[in-house]
Order: sequence, then structure tokens, then C-alpha cells
Amino acid sequence: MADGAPSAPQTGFRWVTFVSEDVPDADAELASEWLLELGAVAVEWTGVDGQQPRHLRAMLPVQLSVDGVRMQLATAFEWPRWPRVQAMATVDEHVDWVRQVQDAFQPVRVGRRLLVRYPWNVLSGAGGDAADASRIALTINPSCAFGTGEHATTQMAAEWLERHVFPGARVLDCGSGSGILVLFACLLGASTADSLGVDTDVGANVEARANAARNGVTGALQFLTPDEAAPRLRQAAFDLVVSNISAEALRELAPLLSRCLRPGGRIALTGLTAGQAPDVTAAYAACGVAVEEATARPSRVFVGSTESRVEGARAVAAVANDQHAWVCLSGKRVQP
Amino acid sequence: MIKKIITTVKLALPAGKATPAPPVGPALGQHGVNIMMFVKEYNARTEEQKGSIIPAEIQIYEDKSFTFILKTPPASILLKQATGIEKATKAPRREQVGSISYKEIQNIAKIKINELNTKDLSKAIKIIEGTAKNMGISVET
Repeated sequence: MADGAPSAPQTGFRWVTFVSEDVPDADAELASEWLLELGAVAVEWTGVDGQQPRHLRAMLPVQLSVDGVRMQLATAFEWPRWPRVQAMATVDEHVDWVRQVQDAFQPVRVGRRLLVRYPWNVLSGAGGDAADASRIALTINPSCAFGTGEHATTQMAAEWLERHVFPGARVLDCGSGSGILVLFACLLGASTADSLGVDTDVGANVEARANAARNGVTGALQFLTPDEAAPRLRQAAFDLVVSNISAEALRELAPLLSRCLRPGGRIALTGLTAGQAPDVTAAYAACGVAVEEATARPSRVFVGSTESRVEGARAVAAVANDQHAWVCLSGKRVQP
Repeated sequence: MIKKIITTVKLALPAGKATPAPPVGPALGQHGVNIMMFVKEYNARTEEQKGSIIPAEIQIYEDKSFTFILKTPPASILLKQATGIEKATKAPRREQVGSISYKEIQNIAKIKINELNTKDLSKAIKIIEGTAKNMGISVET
């Protein structure tokens, strides 16, 4: 089997699937580790519990010799023969993978009142069932900006907005991404002229403006970078601030976001985990914002041993002791 | 109700800096997994370890949802840390860049095997030895 001309510069990757009979079940897991050490960038295995058709395949840089990999596998595990290659396929790097997956997205219910749809759902008339008709429909084109409505943090923040937005409310969305949260606030009755989305990503702001137009939330609502927003923020007195970013960014922004809130105004901080909550709470307390309550959602990540992974998968509803659960902190500016 | 896992994917990624480019996009996209959600969660979890390679082992369920575990860095990195060498050699058969004791190989193998379902230490040791050899690190007995 030809590996390609050794002297030609090669980039890119290929999937190499090994004949499953040549990879003993007992070695599959260690073989996947060995493949990563040998230079594979991804390894995938299916069915090692014997319940499904088995296969082991690896994504290898094209300049890595497949025969070399086969030999090293056989040598390390003392297999009777080099594992045969069942299939090899070049990875098409021009595929827009993010787009491919997003095209499969169906409308998502967020909170009690919101239904997030994607432009392709609207076009195909996929509006969901009758129960969805009573929801506020928000059409979002996610592209690469964060905020498609599915993440636990977006959902907790949206539920917080449902509880606190009132007609004419002035809302600041710090880390607005696709604009989903401030757009939802506007559809709930917040003031478009006095609300604002801020994001460091210029591309996200472009996308957010397009999302605003898609939903008939026009002109007055701005999406700005921190520099562009600075003059407005200096004079700000928002009723509500919502921020879905990261623990580190939330801590750094505590002085600024606290100042932007009017006395008695409320703030939702999310994108942090239960383990990070104490430090973030303390940072805001130091700036006169008292965290009054928190909601939590289970995490997808389990760090540690196999035992904790199995435990985590079964106990995913028990967030109380999970330091990795996503939380949303709800606070109020208590200092005048 | 326990969801069925349809496949497991392991990716070696730069902590805090994952993107939808290969390997993430092709490896996860073919299973319909929400790539941006994985990238966001992975980067959020590994933010504090930027500069390292933190592999992720991703369980993909039949409904396209996923969970993932963060693992210890690849053996090649643990070997670099143990031997203090900066770079592996490009010519492992001819050039030796460092050496390591068998005991340290064992320790690294134990760290790795702690994360696996497999508990065959002798095979894990062989893999660490093989990695060392490929890097030009000789093993002292």
C-alpha cells in the first residue's frame, strides 16, 4: 500500500481503520493510547463491550507512515501480525464542520417562554408542536459565536431574564456572543435604546446585529466591543446585567459591572462552575454586589478516575456535590 | 435510564485553545455532536492549564449528546518532564537525548493506567518504554 512520495511536503490528515479481528478487545484501549503517542491526533473506538460491531480507527497526519504505525502497534502488544488496514480516507479539511452539525439543529425550548430557532428551521417550516406556538420565538444564526440556546449556562441566564425583565428595563449583556440573551430580554419588553450587548469579538457583534434584524429588534440596540462601549459604560445605570463568560473574566470585570448597575439593580453571572463560585462571589461582594441565590446544572465533564466517571454518568442529576456543575449566580447591588 | 454510548473518541488538544479545526471538527462532526459546545466546555475546563496538552476522552451517546473526561498529558510530555529534556530527537535510532530509570517509567505507566479501564501494567510499561525509545531517551535498568 503506497504511503505517498516521501520527499513531497504533505499536510492534512487521514482516517485509518484497522481490521477489528486484528485488534484484540483486551488491547483496544491501550492501543488507542499508543496511537496518540505515535502521532495520531484522534482515535475512535466503538463496541469494545462486545455489543456492537467493533472498530478502531485513528486520524493520522498524512506524513506519518501507516506501515510504521502498524509495526509499532504489533510490536508493543505482541500481536501475531501487523494489524491490517480495513479502510483509509483523507479528511476533507474544506468541510465546514461547525456548519454541518448546526444544520442538524432543531428548535430548542429555553426556560418557560423562549423557543430558539435557527434560520434553516424557519425556512423549512419546522416550528415544533402546538405547545411551542405560545412561546416567544427567537431566530438565531449561530455561526461561530457562542449562544445557540442549548448550553446549560445560556438556559440558566435566560430563565433569570424571564424572572427579572420588566417593560422598559435597561439591560447589559456582557459577553453577548450571538446576542441571544439581550435579544430575548428585548422580546420580553426591555428597552432597545437603553440596552446594550458587549463582546470582545468583532465578528460576533456583526452576527448579533444580523440576529437583531432577523427578529425585528432594530437600530437602537447596539453590539459593541469594550473599547467602543467605554463612553456609554462610564455613564451607565443598567437595571439588569447578565454575563455568561468565564470565572476569570467575571472576577476581572467585577468593579466595572458593579459600577454599571444602578443601586438595587440585579446581576446574573454564569459560565462558572460550583467550585469557582466562592471566589467570584467574594469578588462581587467586595464591589458592593451581594449574591443572593444560585442555580446549577450538571456538567458534561468528569475529571479523574474511571470510578468517578461511571458514578458521574449515573448521578448526573445530583449536582449538589458536583464541583464541576455549571452555576448561575444571582446578585443585587446593595451599595448606593 | 442509561443512555447507550455509541462511540468513544480520544483527542489530544491544547488546553484552553481547542478549535473546530481538525481533529475536533471531523472527529466529532461525523457523529452529529455539537462541536462548538464541546470546544466551549473543553476550553472553559482547561483554561487554567494553557500551555499543556490535555487529552479529552469523549463518550458520544445515541442521542448525539456527549460527556467527556480530561486526562493526564501524553506520555511524551510526562517523559520530557521526568528527564528534563526540551525536545525529542528526530533520529531516535542514532541520537540519545536523555535517559530515564526503569522506576520512573513504571511511575509514568501507573499514572496512565489509573485513568484506564485496562489494568495491565506490563503492557502500559511497554508503551511508555516504546515512547521513550521513539524520543531518543534510553531506559536504565
